[in-house]
Amino acid sequence: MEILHFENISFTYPNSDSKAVDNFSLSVKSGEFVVICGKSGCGKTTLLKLIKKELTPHGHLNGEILYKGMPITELEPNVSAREIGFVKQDPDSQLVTDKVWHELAFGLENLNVPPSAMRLRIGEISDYFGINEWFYRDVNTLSGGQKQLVNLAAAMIMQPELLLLDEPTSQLDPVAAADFISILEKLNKELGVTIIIAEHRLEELFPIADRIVLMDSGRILINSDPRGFGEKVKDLDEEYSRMLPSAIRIFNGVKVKAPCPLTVKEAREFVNANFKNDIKEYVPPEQKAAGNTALRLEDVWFRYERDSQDVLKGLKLTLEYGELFCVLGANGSGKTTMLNVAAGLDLPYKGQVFLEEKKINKKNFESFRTRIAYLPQNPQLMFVKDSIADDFFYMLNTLGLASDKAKELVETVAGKVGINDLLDKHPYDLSLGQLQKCALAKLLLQRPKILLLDEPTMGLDAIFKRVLADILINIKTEDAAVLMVTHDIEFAAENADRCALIFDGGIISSGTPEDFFSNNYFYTTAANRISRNIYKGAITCEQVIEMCLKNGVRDEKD
Amino acid sequence: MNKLLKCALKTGCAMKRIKKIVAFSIALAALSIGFFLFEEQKYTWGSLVIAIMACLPFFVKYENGRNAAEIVVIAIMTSIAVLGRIIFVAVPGFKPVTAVVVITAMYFGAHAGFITGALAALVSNFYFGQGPWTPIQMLVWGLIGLLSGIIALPLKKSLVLRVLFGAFSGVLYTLIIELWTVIWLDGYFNIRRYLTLLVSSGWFTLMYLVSNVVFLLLLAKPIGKKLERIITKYGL
Amino acid sequence: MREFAKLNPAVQLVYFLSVILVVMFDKNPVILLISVLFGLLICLRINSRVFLKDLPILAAILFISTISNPFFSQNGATTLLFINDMPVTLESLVYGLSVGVMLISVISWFKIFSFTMTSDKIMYLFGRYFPSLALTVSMIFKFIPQIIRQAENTKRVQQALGQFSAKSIMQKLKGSINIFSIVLTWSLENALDTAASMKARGYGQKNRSSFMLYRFTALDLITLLIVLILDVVLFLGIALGKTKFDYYPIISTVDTTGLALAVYISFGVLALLPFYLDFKESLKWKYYILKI
Repeated sequence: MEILHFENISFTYPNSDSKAVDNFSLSVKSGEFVVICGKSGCGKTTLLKLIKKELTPHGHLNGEILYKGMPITELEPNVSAREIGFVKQDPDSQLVTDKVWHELAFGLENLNVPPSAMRLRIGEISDYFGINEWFYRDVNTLSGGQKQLVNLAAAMIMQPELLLLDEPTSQLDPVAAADFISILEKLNKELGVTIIIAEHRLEELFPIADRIVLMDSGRILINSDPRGFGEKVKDLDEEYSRMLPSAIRIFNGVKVKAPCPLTVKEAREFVNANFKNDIKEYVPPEQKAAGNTALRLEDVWFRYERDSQDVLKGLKLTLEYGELFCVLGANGSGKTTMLNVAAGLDLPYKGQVFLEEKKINKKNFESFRTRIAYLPQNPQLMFVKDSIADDFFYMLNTLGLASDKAKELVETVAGKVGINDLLDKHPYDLSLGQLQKCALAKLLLQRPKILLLDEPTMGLDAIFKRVLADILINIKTEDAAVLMVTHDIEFAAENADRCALIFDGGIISSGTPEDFFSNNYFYTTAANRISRNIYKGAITCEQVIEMCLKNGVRDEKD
Repeated sequence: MNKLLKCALKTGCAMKRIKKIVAFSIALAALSIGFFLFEEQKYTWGSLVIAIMACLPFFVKYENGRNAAEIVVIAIMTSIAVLGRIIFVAVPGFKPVTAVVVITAMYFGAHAGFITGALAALVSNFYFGQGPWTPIQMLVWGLIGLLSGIIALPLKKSLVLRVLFGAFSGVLYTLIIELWTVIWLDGYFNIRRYLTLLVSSGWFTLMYLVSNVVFLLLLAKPIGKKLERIITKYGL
Repeated sequence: MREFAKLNPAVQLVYFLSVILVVMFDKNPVILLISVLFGLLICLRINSRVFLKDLPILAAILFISTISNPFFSQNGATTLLFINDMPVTLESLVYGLSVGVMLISVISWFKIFSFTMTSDKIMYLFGRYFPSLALTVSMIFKFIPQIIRQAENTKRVQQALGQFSAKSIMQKLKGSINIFSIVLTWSLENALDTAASMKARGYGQKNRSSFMLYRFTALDLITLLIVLILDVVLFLGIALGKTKFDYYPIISTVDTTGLALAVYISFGVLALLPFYLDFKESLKWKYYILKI
């Protein structure tokens, strides 16, 4: 049965020439799991909002969206609220009330459900989502993953038939994201909820989706089942293949006629079955010689309060000029704290931080300030003025730069990062990717030698990550160093010069990405998990493809 | 169908009228019981009942309009007001609460002003301790919001008026709160105690008055700009 | 107080209304003594450290209230001395003392009230009649910590950008104003996101119900009945003027007839009720432990 039908939908925002959604037609069957992907700004968020009439933005809409054969605009408000659930990106701003129980009750209260019936539904849903234990808690005390789970539960308590999700995992760490997606799978398989999800993180979604829709500039480029998708995406621009799961990327890279693999297991069978695999070791290119020491953390101990637990426990770390150093680790391992200590925001109670072998302490810190630049996890926090340019000039002014020089500097940096067209915008009107670029530009305006970045790839699409990586690689060659903490294993594997794992407040392993990841069993890239028993030391899709091609296709007769 | 609807509407109206009558009689009963029970304290009791009853029509009106955007804006402005009271806790009397209430009323009207004022009193007392004065505080801050909503246009236009109004509301607040305290403690209007209280809280009142003026001068334009941006961006 | 706090909020509200009304409005010395002693006792039990810290302040209130009253009121028949031709009467001093005791008592009982009647209980009680208002308050309690966190994070990041390194106060003030301003922008944008989420979940329709987190159990009913029975005796006695007590012109004597005694005892039992519930529960618990 068809639950949703788009017939030649076009949508234009006011004050905009181009269409956000352009001649979009699609039919979704009841119980389907549909993934919508595409670059940031491809129109997927707008599309989702058009389905939920309460969220439909101002603008000009052409065509009709039918929900169970009825135009969306004619749905009764309580039908739309009950049957179509919506979960957004930001875990915080969707929460309405201060307590978990109240958040769950909120939707039912709006539908005027009597208290006794409410109690049953709330009990049921908390059991299903496993949130009994934090039922009475303040929402502000929950982690991001927990908040997003509450948001999902609050949408599901209305017992919707159609669930719309707009990048729900983009603010979560990989573990919480995987949990979230597995619950979506359960909702779809066990309860038959129709799911339409717009997402950048596709690795876990491809195996469970029924259909993948790729959008660009508001139009459908590909609409296919996951396996067929891998075939069709070959014909498109190479940059699209970046966002795909590793299994499909490898499949696409080797151009062999076979069914497209979707999971790690299938991809491993695919590589085993189709290639000769006589050459078993991937030899990485020569490492360049170590540079001078930029920053050194020596036996650093830190805790936030006198009688709280230690967060950093004798941490040692050396950052060299000319390198991009990625530190990976789970939430609560001390990653961000380490970065704060390195940035001088927090002072260790024992141990030392050295900048170019000079001790940093409270007194001399100000003189080092401009050499170290710090990018927080949320780039919004960098801006305090009403336009990007205002903000830049205000900062340069307080740093004591003359206005003509400031202007020159802003022009150079804006050109380098590619944000000339964003300078007049309000920071809150930019997309996350654009904001991240502006934040990087603000760091560069301080002409630092050391960049400390906290999760810079969070919420960015694959194509934007490439842009970011190019900017970082460009920076580090200029006698500067980049230290970033991240959850993004794939980004680290592709771009880092060195990687390290932080656990329980200390660095427990470090090395070149090739050594580092091929020694890990769980904490490694999908490409490495696919190829670990076949090729030693290959950790990125490109490397696996290179090895496959080097080995050559196995003959039918073998 | 139409008949049914009309009938339902009629009974709905009747229900509302009955509710009003019930509420009114409860208030009367509470008043007279208090007068009867605590004869010496009848003014204190009466003023508390009246304060609560005076807030009720505004609260009932708030229940009738269900606009999500209005609710969140009031919630945010109240949060800012409460935070102002928390942040400046170390400086007695120096509080931006009234200024925030006045500015909210200037841009969102008298009713929103009343609700913001009353809620700011109620919620901040959850942090600083509820007391018998809570209903009085709610009413006074609510009334300041109401008043500034009524004269919103002149307030927006005239800087002098803003200064005067800030000072006036500071004085008004102290006059009423101390009046109530005196009546509670003595059971009658003991003018000596009243004057002493006013003099001894003179420094506090002065700070309060100055802070109202200062914060109104500092905040009216920038907050107003942001509120206007929101009003146009989301069509409130 | 722990067991009492578990009762249905409606019962707690009736209880506190009864006690606080009497405490605020009745100046009978026996009632005052009962309320202040038991009030302080419960405060001590809730948090002894805070209690000890507050003690000097309470003593100061008592002292100032007593000493200053002759200045406000020269009523009373028994003049003790003259200060600058102003008579200081015994009655006036005693009245000041009683006001002081009442203030301490009111402060204590409102502390107990705040401790047990947390904001969510109050919202629960009024949410039925004022759902939008209750929702607004609930949102405020969500927004306040969020805004604080956003402001703290912004300040830290701005510090890292060197925006607070200058020594001049003007520069620092400018920095703080910037933070206030951007956090306000953030709050408003965030709030309208919340509004969208409210609409998506059906907010804005005519009728709205309110979730009842608390049930009404047999214990609630029994406690409520006890409170109401005590209230009947108490308020009947008060209405019949059994607790009437004059300080001016001469201090009257305390009524110790039958009904007056009944009023004092009722009030004492009422004030001790939370204690009794705790005591009973701990006895029960000991009994269960013995059975294991």
